[in-house]
Amino acid sequence: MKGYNFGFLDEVSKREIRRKILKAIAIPGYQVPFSSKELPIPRGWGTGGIQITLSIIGPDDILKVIDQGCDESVNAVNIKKFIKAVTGVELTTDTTEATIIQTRHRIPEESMTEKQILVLQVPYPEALRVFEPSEVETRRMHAEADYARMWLYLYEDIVKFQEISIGARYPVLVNNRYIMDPSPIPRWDIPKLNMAKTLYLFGAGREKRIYAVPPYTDVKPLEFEDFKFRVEDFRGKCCMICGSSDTFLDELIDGSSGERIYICSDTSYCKKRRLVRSEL
Amino acid sequence: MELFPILEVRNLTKIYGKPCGECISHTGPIYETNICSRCNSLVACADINFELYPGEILGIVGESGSGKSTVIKLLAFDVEPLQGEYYIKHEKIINILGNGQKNLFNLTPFEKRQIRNQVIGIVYQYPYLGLKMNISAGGNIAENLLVAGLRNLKRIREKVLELFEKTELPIQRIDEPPIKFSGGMQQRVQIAKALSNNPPVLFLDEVTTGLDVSVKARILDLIKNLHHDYNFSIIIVSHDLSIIRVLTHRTIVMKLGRVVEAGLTDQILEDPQHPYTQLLVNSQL
Amino acid sequence: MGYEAVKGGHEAIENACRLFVYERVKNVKTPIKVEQIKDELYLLVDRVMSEASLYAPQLAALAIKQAAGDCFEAVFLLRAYRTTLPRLGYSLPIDTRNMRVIRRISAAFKEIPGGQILGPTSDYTLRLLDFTLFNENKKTINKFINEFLSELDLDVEEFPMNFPKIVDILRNEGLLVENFEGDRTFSDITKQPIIFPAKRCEVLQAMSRGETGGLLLLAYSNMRGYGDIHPTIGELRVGYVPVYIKENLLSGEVISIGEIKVTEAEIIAKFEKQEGKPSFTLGYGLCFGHNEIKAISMAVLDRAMQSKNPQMISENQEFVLAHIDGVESMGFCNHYKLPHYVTFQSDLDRLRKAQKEYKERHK
Repeated sequence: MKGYNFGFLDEVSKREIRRKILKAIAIPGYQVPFSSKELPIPRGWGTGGIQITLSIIGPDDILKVIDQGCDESVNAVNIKKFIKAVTGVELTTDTTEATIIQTRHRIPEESMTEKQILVLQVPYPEALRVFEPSEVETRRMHAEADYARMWLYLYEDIVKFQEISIGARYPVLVNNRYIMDPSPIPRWDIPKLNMAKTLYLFGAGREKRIYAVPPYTDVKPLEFEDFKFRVEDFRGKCCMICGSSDTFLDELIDGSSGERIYICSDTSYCKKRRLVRSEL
Repeated sequence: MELFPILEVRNLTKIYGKPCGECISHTGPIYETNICSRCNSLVACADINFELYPGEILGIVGESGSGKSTVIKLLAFDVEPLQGEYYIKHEKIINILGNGQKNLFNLTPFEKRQIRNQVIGIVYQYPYLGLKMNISAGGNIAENLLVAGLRNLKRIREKVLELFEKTELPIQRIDEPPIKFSGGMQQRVQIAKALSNNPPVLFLDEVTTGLDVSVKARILDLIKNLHHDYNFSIIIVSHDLSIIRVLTHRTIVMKLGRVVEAGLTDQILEDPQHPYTQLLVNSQL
Repeated sequence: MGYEAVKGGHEAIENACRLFVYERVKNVKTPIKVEQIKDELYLLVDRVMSEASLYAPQLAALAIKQAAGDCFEAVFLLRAYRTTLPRLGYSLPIDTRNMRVIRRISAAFKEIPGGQILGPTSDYTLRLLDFTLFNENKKTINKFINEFLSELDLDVEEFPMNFPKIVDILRNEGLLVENFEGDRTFSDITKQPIIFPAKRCEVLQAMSRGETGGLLLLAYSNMRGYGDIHPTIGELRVGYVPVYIKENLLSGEVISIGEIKVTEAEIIAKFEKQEGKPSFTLGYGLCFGHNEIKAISMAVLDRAMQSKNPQMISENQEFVLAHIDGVESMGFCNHYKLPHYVTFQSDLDRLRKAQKEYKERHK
């Protein structure tokens, strides 16, 4: 875009963000405060993820942006349009082709490699915020690894519902030290964080925090010995487009019949599967 | 056989405000004030020394403003002292800190929390200080077990039920929040919570103040029975000499932040030496 | 029946953007000139500049036009533009004692040195719709200006260049004491994130770019009774202040780069027992442009947040500072319009499981 620096942000700002990213990688799961610039895209619409992407992206990178697993979603389209305009990088919808994937609320189904980076957009970086509104207090809790109240929250949940009621944003313990908010990904995606080959970077623009899960890091969902963490239950259901029964499914209500139908949330993977099936 | 104290306190001092250096020498019973005339700081307690022996119940008595509750707050790490030393000798301390004597005031917040959780049980005068009033009573007790690292829900529930029985709480109300409980029941929940990790030392800060006479009597009975069963060491703070008489072996009398008299409880109540103690005993007993 | 996931998102988005422009212009006979917004809607322009923290009347007016008058959007446009501008340097602190005052009042004293100067204000107008404005034109405007100016008995010579500060008088008499504890070094909140507890300079910066309505809400809660500071306006002044920068860092030569219009409020609050003798305390507010509600609210909150024992939300620094930025709050509010079907699916799964558990227990 004429009149703007490569990657929109000025080089000093990018360097600040890269420094904060390095710190985040050095202390897995720890939230690093950063100054967080205003962007032409609203706060709460992925400005943290965008700032990370813009700071690490180079002209040779290949970018994929998804929202809810979908490459065509309004927010993904908007972000892609902006990043393409200020960098000119190549875009893709293929998970395996991309060098950087920016995402909101999903981790792609296809496994990623050491050569790729997944950038997650984060609305609430603080996992402890559900029971403690004060930032001073939650920072103290993290510093002292004082996580009793998080466990108590889970205990109370089970007492009330015979079930942990947390759907997405399931809290995890990173590297046996920090409790981390994995961003609002479904529980389905939580196991993908553990000992992953790929670097995961988390950006919260409005709340001005960056954190990371480096490759091959231990990431455990919080669970009791006799009350285990469980992913969403799609038993007996499959994608009506590609037939997949081992992917996260979106539930839809059929307009004419009123029946429930299911399709893959990861649309590009779904397309790939369909191609493979039609070739067979 | 020589008897070693389980808990020792040396030169414990707490001042609220910015001390000027002359505060301690310008306050206390002789000056009839605990406010420093030079800098307006409040000397809550100064130069406190005592020890607690295994199985002993020690009373700290004094009227409000004497600094007795401050001493408990300091020992529970709720506030930080200006100076002082604090030691507890127990195998649980060795498990947390390793061998060797360490001044507990110098520990990290993490270590202090472990000691609060494992070694010290505390019951406050006001239940809201010790309990989360909107979290279930069972949850309040479970919190201590969770801090201790217990991650088996079934075992946590069993332990909470056991504590409910021990403290004579109605089991069917285990999942209700203490805010719905009576004052006496709230104190029982606090006691159950304090006992959850079998601490060798228990602090009781005016635990029956504000309760009806009959409720108070039953709480005191409970404390006596628990002491008999567990044989932990207790420090009990009260302005009420009848409680001190019923429960304690030894007593410390405090006035305006200083210890004015200490000794066997019977001796102090029957033959008080310090004029202030004489006044207290005459007015109450 | 075959299901296709929603596609063509790109085209729909493009059209939605263009439709937004179309809505604004479709019935327009004479487009509003940016200049007109700047001149006639100057209070809105002031508010947008202040909340965007960029003093640029022309650009603020442009933003208002582009945003079809949506104040939040206009602030956002200007803020997003601001972020692309390099920080060339920092001005020297502005001394409002040197303000070219257009309005200056004190509620603390009936008579004040220099006098009360009402200046331009809607405070005393009867709020009756003026139907003659339907037909306002150059002629009616000129007529009003000529009449107004000829009736004024102006003695420019006697008009003082600057005015003493009311709070200075109280300070000198020892009635007002400010002892702000903590770090007094300067930091720039657009370069470094605020870590709580925030420094006072960070508190004032954050409020100065805060959203007027948000500041008012919090300050009003304190004034009404969820708080206890009982403010009196020591002095409220509006006017123009010169901005100086050090042109040459080596020689230290100082030059003026122009002047800006600001509103400043100093509120005196209920006295508190400080260490030593009791005295009044001060709350301070300053913002770009003419925006008295913002400056007063800011001053009330500044004082409220100095509370030694914060009880109310307006006294809670973290609460106030985390919720007053309009660009942040409007962005987050709007983001709920984005699809959330993955999280919702996850919640559905939990609810169904919990309902199943419930049924089994209550068989």
